[in-house]
Amino acid sequence: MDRNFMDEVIEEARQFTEKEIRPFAGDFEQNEQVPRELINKMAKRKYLAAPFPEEYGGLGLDPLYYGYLTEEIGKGCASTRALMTVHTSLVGETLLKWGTKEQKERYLRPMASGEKIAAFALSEPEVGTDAGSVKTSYIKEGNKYILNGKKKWITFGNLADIFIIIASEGKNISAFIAERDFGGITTKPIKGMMAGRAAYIAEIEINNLEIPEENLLGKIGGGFTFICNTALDYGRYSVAWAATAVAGAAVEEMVTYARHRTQFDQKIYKFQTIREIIANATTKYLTSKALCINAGNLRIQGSDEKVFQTTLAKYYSSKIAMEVTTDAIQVFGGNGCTSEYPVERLFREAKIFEIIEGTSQIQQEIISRYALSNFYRKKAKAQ
Amino acid sequence: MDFHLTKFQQDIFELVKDVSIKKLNDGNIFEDDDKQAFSREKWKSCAETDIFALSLEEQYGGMGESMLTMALAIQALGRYCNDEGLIFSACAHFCTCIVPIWQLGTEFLKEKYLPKLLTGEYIGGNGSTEADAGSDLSSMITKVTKDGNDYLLNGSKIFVTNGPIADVLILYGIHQDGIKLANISGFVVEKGFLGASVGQTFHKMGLRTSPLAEIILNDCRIPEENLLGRERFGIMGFNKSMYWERILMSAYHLGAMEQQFNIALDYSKKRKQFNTRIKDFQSVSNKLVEMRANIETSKWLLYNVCWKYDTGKVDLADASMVKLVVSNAKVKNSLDAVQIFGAYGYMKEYLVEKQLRDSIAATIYSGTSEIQKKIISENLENIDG
Ligand SMILES: Cc1cc2nc3c(=O)[nH]c(=O)nc-3n(C[C@H](O)[C@H](O)[C@H](O)COP(=O)(O)OP(=O)(O)OC[C@H]3O[C@@H](n4cnc5c(N)ncnc54)[C@H](O)[C@@H]3O)c2cc1C
Ligand SMILES: Cc1cc2nc3c(=O)[nH]c(=O)nc-3n(C[C@H](O)[C@H](O)[C@H](O)COP(=O)(O)OP(=O)(O)OC[C@H]3O[C@@H](n4cnc5c(N)ncnc54)[C@H](O)[C@@H]3O)c2cc1C
Repeated sequence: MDRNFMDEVIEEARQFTEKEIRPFAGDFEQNEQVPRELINKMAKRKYLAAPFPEEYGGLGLDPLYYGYLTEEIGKGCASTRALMTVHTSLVGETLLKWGTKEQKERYLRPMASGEKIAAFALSEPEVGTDAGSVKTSYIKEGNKYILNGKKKWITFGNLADIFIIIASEGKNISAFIAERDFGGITTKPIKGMMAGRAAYIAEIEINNLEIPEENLLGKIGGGFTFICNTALDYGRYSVAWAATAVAGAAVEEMVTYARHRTQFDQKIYKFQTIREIIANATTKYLTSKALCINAGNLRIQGSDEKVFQTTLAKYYSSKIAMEVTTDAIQVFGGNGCTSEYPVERLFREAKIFEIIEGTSQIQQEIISRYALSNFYRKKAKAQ
Repeated sequence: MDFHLTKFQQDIFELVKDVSIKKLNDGNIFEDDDKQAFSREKWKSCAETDIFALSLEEQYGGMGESMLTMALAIQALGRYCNDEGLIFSACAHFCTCIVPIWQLGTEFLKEKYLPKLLTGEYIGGNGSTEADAGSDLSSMITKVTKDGNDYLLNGSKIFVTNGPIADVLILYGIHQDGIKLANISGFVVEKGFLGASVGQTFHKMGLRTSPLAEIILNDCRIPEENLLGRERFGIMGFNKSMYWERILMSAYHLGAMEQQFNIALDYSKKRKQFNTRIKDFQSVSNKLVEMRANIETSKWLLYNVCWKYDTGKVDLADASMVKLVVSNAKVKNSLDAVQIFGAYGYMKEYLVEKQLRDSIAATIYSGTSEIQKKIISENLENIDG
């Protein structure tokens, strides 16, 4: 892919976000929805299919540039960016990788054009981290699968037309592509979320949902090992950039405020205490971005390390997004606690990254396992 | 130091606990939080415990108890009442309105205002912060001028806790001549005084049931006798109330952390993943341990500073130290609690989501953490008393 072209896409996305998204993120939240017109505008610019090849209506961005794009949109509004995480990454890229030719033909183009919105339904009321124990059930009847159960926390679930649903049949876990039009799917918005209020987060009742057999995604029994793991890897990559974006936005806000605000006859950026906050926040943001860029490059190369480095980037970026947004509120003082300034929203948005796509505790598990095998000095004697 | 609590202290703790559970947790706290709704009913029940009267001398209708007793009562409120906005309003009422009148007011002012403030019939607050004067109060621009026997105040105060519902506010203004810090006067201003009105209200992230507003002063006319303390020495009054505010807000945070800890511990024992109680994962239990360590550190630092206050050994740096440590602990514990709850911690089903939002301003009001550090650093020699 041509770098100049991709650079242009990113520059345009920056301007687009500054003009169409960032000033309105607070309004989206108040109205509890990312407006449909905005989704259409993004679709028109092919952002909803940014990493898809052109034949499916995409922009054909490589993983690194798709990351840059996620950062730009993510600086504007986390709910809007969440659409790309679930629709484009979790569902779109997973379909690209595991879908049959027919499935890709049927779903990717309407997803690219924004005509159909997609969501990923794994979590349940009783099942979060332990995703291998999903209770939503399926059985085969003739040339159909019948699904029953409940899903929870499904981002863009209340708007979506297409769902990847993970279900179990006792020993086998499988993945299915469902359409709202099949019937048997009822969605209900989840109110009272700390943030992501504009992201149509929903609870889903699945009641005798009939899925034609050609809508099995991947193989029977491959729902967890292949589909979920692939989807969550794409999801983690997207979230790593999303968290970096929120940290970046918080740094921009705190620096701008510190240069405007005067106390004790000085701009507050002149106080060493504030300089310390800015220096630490900037270091964290840029370190986090470097980890994301590294993960992006490894994904381009198809390196064996790509999944691990993506996990690392997600763990670090979500941790520092929380720290940096907390510090941004601190720099804003009392103003930081009101909705008149964006940092209180950024703070609420940041908390989510330590929970979704695997909690930080699970990333610690994975990272420590990696260290225990890779950094072990076999020949060295224990003292 | 004596670790023994008096019978009175134990009784007041139990009383506040009882009232909190029976009366202050009524209604749907999530709805009130959504609507930024303050409840008069709850305010009355809270005041009926005599919590505002504990530390004042009997001659003013008080009970002559210590700072420690007051801290224990507020801690009980924090621990058992789920409405942190209400607690915050109560603390602001006591620390920023009752305390300055009590400590600096003339007998006339004390007799006129304290009885109704102590019973909660009047609601009080203070306005020192302005749009461009937060940490640096000396840069306030609300003007004080003299007009015959009256003072006139012109300007506006923002972030006035209890502003929209207050009957009495302590307001600070600056004289136009003379040097900056030695030029600020405080006044006791009644709702009915001409020229004082409520301006903009705010959408707050947390403490949403505690009303917050701008107070606009347009030739606000104040009779001479409502000057608080000496003219141009208003900052003294402000500093007096800061001892109480920093210490008692910490007592509220301590109680709130205890409440939150119990909720998180309980959840970690009930929630299972991988057929295991999540409490049995060390990643989770480590968080609980750190939360507990923060609580214990906060508790004993707080009690120690109360003891120093009650025995006349306290320095402004002590109050800043407890404020710095406890507010920081509260934000940390709140983040951990949400993490333990996973997605459930991200929504209004359990209290932890609200507790996180309620906690974040703690490192900002009553002087930001940076300002506490500044005060401590200037008084490092005094704190080892
Ligand atoms: C805003 C939002 C959007 C979401 N969107 C989606 C979506 O689109 N699709 C979807 O399927 N899901 C979605 N989720 C759900 C999300 O994936 C889950 O919240 C996540 O998997 C964690 O599960 P849980 O919340 O049930 O926490 P639990 O699994 O109950 O975890 C509770 C606590 O225990 C810890 N814990 C659990 N197991 C272990 C262990 N083995 N070792 C150490 N600690 C452990 C966790 O780290 C956490 O601190 C969303 C959640 C949120 C908040
Ligand atoms: C919930 C809530 C309730 C409140 N209630 C009241 C009330 O009832 N009455 C009232 O008068 N006010 C009230 N306030 C206002 C509060 O007292 C101020 O927000 C606080 O004093 C900080 O001032 P500021 O917000 O203007 O921040 P600023 O002073 O503008 O500070 C901005 C940043 O600069 C830093 N900074 C400033 N000076 C220095 C320095 N010298 N060295 C190092 N760093 C520095 C600060 O620490 C902060 O990080 C309330 C605030 C909140 C959030």
